[in-house]
Amino acid sequence: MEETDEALMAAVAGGDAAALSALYDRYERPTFNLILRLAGRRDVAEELMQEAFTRLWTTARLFRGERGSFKPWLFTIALNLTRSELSRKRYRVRHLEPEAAEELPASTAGPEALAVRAQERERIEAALNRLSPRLREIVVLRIYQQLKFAEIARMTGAPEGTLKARFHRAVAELRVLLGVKEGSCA
Amino acid sequence: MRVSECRHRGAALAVHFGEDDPRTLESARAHLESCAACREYVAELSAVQGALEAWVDEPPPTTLRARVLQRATSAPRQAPNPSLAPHALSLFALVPVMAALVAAIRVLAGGLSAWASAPGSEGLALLDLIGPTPVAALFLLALGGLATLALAPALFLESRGPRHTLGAQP
Repeated sequence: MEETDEALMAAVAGGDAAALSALYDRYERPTFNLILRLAGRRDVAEELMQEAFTRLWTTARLFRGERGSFKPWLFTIALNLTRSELSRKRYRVRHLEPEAAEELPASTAGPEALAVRAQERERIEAALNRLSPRLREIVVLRIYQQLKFAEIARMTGAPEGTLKARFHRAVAELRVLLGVKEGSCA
Repeated sequence: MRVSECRHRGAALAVHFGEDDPRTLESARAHLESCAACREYVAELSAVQGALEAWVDEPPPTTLRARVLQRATSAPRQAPNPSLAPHALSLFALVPVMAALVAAIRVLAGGLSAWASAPGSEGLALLDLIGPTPVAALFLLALGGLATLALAPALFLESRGPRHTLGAQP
């Protein structure tokens, strides 16, 4: 049977590097994309991934593992690191460097499809970058990371009502920025 | 009415994400049946979410895993600091020490008493004044104090030594 995240964290707390690798494999992609969508740059996402997992390794013994608590804990580390990085610098974002484009999922073949998808992504990214950092955060955490408002409230310390109000504002702004028709369905 | 004017706008979120408890969801659905603005808003939420989901997860660089794990496991991990409060076990360990001290006082006091009462011995004025047992206790306490003073620098240096760390993992 597969070990739970919390059992792996207990092993990490004891200095088990293999347990850290297992956790990394489970959470590499969501954590990387969380940071990428918040910071908007792959190089920053790569650097903060290293920082996040180093912090996880060095502070593992502080983790109190109730079942299901690891993911929000890791995301909180990633979120705080990203906030701190963004507060130090103002990024003008173009996250998709040419070499990174080669690593995009190759599910839809053909250069035309890739180009369309890249354009679409740039459009979404530009829209997200127009939001204030707190609005962008709530969109990324709720839509992309699929965390519940209650979980986000525990992570950020903000009241659930405040988070929902931010989400409403973000949706209103994104509707305009993305050119989504009022009342239309996807 | 616009959705921003509806006091029950949260109902749209509840229905869209379905993350509230069944009772809240039920009342949210009931509200939506009677509120065209909120129904429209749910459609809007779906449309915005659908548009955002066109930005699919991107794969991290293939070299990132090795870099992350190498850097993380090279970082020193500080072991928990030993508690400064005396441990219950160490207090129990003092019991035989105290017993040995009492026995030593009694033996020494017996020796002093015999020496003081021996014929031809003038004894000590202190012995006559406070008795052999307190003199023995004072003597041993003074001896212990001198030993502590002699060892103090070494104990201090040891307590300032490097902390134990788990060190780098392979």
